Amino acid sequence: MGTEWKITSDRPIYLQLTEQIVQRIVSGQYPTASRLPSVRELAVEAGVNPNTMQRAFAELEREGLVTTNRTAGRIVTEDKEMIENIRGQLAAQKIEEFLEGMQLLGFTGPQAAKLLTQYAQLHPSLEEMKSEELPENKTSADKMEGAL
Amino acid sequence: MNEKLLVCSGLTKLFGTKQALTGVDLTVGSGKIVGLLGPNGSGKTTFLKLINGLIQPTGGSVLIDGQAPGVYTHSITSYLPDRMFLNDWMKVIDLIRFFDDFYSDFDFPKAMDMLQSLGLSSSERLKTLSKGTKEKVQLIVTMARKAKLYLLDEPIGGVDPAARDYILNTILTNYSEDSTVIISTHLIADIERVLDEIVFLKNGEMTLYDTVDNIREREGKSVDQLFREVFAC
Amino acid sequence: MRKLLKYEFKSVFYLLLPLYACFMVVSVACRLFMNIEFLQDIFNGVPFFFLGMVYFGLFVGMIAISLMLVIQRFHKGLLSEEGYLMFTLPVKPWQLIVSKGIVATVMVLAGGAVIVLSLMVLTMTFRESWEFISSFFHIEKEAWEWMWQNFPTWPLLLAEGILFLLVYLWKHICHTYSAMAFGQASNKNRTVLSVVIYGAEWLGITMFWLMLGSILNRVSFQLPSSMDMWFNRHYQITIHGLMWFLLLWQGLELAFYYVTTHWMLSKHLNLQ
Repeated sequence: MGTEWKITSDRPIYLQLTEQIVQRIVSGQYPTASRLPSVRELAVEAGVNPNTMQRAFAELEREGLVTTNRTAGRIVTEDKEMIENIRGQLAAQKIEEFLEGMQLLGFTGPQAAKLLTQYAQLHPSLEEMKSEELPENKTSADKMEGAL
Repeated sequence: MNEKLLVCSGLTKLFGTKQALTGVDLTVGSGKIVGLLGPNGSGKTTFLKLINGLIQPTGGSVLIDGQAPGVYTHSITSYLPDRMFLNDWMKVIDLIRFFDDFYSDFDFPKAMDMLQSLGLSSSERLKTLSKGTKEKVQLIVTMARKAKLYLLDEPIGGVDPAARDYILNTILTNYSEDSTVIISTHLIADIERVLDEIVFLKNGEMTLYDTVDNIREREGKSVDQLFREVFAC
Repeated sequence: MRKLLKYEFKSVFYLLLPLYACFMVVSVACRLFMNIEFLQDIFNGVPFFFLGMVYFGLFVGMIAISLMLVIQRFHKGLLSEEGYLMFTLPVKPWQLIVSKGIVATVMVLAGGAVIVLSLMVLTMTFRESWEFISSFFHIEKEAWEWMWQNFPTWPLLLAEGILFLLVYLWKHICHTYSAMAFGQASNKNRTVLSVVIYGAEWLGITMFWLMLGSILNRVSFQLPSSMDMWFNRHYQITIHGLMWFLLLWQGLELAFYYVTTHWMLSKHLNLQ
């Protein structure tokens, strides 16, 4: 299943939801031309108000990432180029954040890049490592039953 | 979709000399989850009881689906008070059948499901249950209805976090465009994500009624933080 | 309404039926002891003594419990926490009050019937009790004819009598309901207030009737003697009139208590 929903308390919730759904789309968790889970399902999964989730969906539609088909529900766009563009933009943001953070530690751009490459070489299968750390595949409801 | 599921006009309640509620004007549509937020003693319970017809207003009016509190509004409203209302001669299954009998919108299979998922037995006598279990039973019979208006008075108050999650999860899965849930609480951080709109109640007066998103955008902080500022002692 | 009655009966009789059963069993046991002398001799009457005490205890207990249940079902069922359940049901307040009242009345009557039954078991042989019961039905032919001739409307009188008994009983029950309904309006000392109001209502109503009576006395209209004779001849009408007067009297009291109960519970409900 993949990522969990993270909601912080200072920004509008629907914006955070929008971002996280975009993340899921660009990472392929919701593949192109696939059907999105319903508003209700995702709202329950994220533990948020369905109207707020609805607003997030509306944002996605506005941005053209998602279209509403009367019979088939909400479909992720087939426009792979757009998705790749967005992916690129988000990646650029992450890189900027990384570089700014490294600058605060006193590293220059090239130094930071070198450290990054070294690190990636030392830990060749970041993918594998990441999947080891991921928590077991549980929905929120399952967790509750376990806890109760 | 009913834009005016709940309409309060100048709703006022006096207890002797104490102003419990003053001039509340509020219109809530259906398909919303609304938080009724305020410190203890701010009039939240009084407000909910007025909607229910358990007490009569001293001034103003309250209409549910266009009607004053009475038999019809009782049949479309599901009320969870912050007290125990269970009687002691019934068993759990008796209480469920009781609700099924009196409320046409009661979902019997769903109630049994909820009993099971909470690990409760249906044949135990209500008076032998622990406090936490009684609260769960009360929650079940309240939420197993397809009511148009749910009034929950401090549902997550004295409850452990796992049960709290279960309650919020139940509210979300119960959600429908035709129904509205009003949750009164002073524990905002836990439920803010679930709310559409909030009402601030201070000393019986309604000081704010807005959507959660608007507040976050406008104030740049969460409702919880705003609440702490507004109601600082 | 029917549903309310169903649940109300269930709540009361699941306690009372075992009690009635016990009572009857003990009665029968007592009876056996009394009849079978050789049992008495052997044990020197000691077990009989205990049995007698048990019987007496159950007798008093049954009366006390029935009375207590009338009050408790109303107080606990409507005026304390269970009230949150009952007053949010899609029923009108009058249905709640009336259903409790009906069950309370039935409870008292049932209790009375069980006592009578038990006394019969104790004191009469089968033949005697059979005769006792059948005497209600097989009045001697002459008496029967006499009744039909002189008082043909006696079945109506019987009905009126039963109705009066019910109204009288229900009036007392409603009196306690009314006192409790007033008592719950305050936040402290509900019980004390209820008792005080019970007395005050009784006093108030008695005084009201007395004053009314004395006013009517002043304005006394002397019936012409011809009317007197008319009443004597048409004694049936007189007696029925009297019954209806009594019914009206108690009925008015019942109405007063009922109306006050209903008013307090619908307008001034004060659940804690």
